[in-house]
Amino acid sequence: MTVFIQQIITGLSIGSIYALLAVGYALIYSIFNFSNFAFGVIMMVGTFGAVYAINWAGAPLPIAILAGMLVAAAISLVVEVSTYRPMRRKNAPRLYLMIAGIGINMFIENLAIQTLGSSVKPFPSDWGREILNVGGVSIAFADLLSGGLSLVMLACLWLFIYRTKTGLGIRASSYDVNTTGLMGVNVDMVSLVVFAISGLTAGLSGVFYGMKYTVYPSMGIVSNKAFVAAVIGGLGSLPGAVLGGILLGLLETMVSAYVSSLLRDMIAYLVMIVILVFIPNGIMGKSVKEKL
Amino acid sequence: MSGQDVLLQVENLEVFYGGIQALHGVNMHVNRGEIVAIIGANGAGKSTLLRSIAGDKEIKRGTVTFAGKPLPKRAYHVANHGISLVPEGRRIFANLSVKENLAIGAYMENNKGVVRDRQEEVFALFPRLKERLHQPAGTMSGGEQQMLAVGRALMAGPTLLMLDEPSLGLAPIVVDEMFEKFKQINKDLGVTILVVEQNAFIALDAADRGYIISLGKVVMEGSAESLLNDPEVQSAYMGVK
Repeated sequence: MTVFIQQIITGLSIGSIYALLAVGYALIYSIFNFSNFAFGVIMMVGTFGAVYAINWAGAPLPIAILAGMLVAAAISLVVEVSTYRPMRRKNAPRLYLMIAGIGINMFIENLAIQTLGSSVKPFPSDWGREILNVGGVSIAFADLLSGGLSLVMLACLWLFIYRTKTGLGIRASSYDVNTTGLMGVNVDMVSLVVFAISGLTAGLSGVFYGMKYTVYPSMGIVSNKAFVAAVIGGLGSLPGAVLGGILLGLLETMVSAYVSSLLRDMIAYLVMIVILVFIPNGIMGKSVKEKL
Repeated sequence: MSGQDVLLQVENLEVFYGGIQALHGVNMHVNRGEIVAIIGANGAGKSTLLRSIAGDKEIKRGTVTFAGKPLPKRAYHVANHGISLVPEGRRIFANLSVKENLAIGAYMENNKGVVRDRQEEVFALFPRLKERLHQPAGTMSGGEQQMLAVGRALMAGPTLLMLDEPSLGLAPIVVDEMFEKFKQINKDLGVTILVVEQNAFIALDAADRGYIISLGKVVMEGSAESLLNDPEVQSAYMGVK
């Protein structure tokens, strides 16, 4: 029983990291109908931001987390303003935006390998590796923190989107971005806010991922799993992204614990394919229906 | 009206869809306080004209001036300069409540008192919207959605209200009610109206002046009454033989 509870906790913790990343995919997809495939490096750069905040500036962990989030938000905005926005202005097909995102991902990843080295580094804080023992179940501080802070972040995001005027602009844009502009909403501002938010969540998840595992320039590859989570949940749906992330985390952990950790990714991706065959819109995906 | 105060002036407007020219040098104007109808068949360029004014379609050549100044290019700037559009097919936000749809219309107005007053104006005009305030907009009937689309546009406090095919998909009796509301908006709220319609009779009946557009050009213009009584207009656009 304690083993099972242990797995649930581990699954929720890794799941919350996926959920944070998946929300970033979902937010951008819901408004612009394309997936930001530069997301992996945004997460990676944010994580390195946190690492260097500790190594160079001697920042305490909370400040380092904040720094990582801000660096990721900044790079996310740079990608939007330098690449996606000019392409949207020229009415580029959405597929080309995704290809540009893949290009950015490769470029920044290789840039990081050249400048920072490809070696795998431990996250420079041991705080997360300390263990809390509760009735035979041991929980790493990093798991507690990532689970807790992810929840707080997602709750803040929910409040922001459903309780503020800017959030209203985001929800209107996600339904019909063109009409939202016609109604006097500056959609470019909305896009900046959305890219900044998705950067913040990417940075936060990157720091947690780094604390739990390690930090290296190719770590952004984990965002592929978050993309899987977003698709399972239903692309464009925020609750769906959270659900997909948590589900994927639990699934992975259970497979590792009770089947084999070698089969973890194989089974996770197989489940995604099966879900998509039966419900192509994902669990909570928006069905495309328009009333004239 | 004294001195014919021109609010909107469109000169030699040319607009393209890819390589295809949709508007071939359109000239028209709207005076302050008027209701002006633009009549034409499907594909004549009526919607293109409204969308170009609203900043939703790029203008290749020609000018649009509003209250003596050139219009800004971006759609949200135009909306914040006093021109509100009720788009074709209504385009309400089906995922938002009625209240939130109205709030989007007043997005750039930060004075809460002003927003409340405008909301009361809209409720006075369309009491049904008040009853449905917290309902998701997508669950309302077509007529109610049209009320919401008009209400949302009014929430911006426009000087000029542009209506793109407001009769589309509505029952005749609802269309009549809707045009009564437009007259009321024009008279009581002092909002100038530019309406684009295939339904020539109902639009000209409500309007002061009208333009007939065909194949991207203005082919006829005049007082609404003279157009209504014109045999050519009657046979081409009102089905009178």
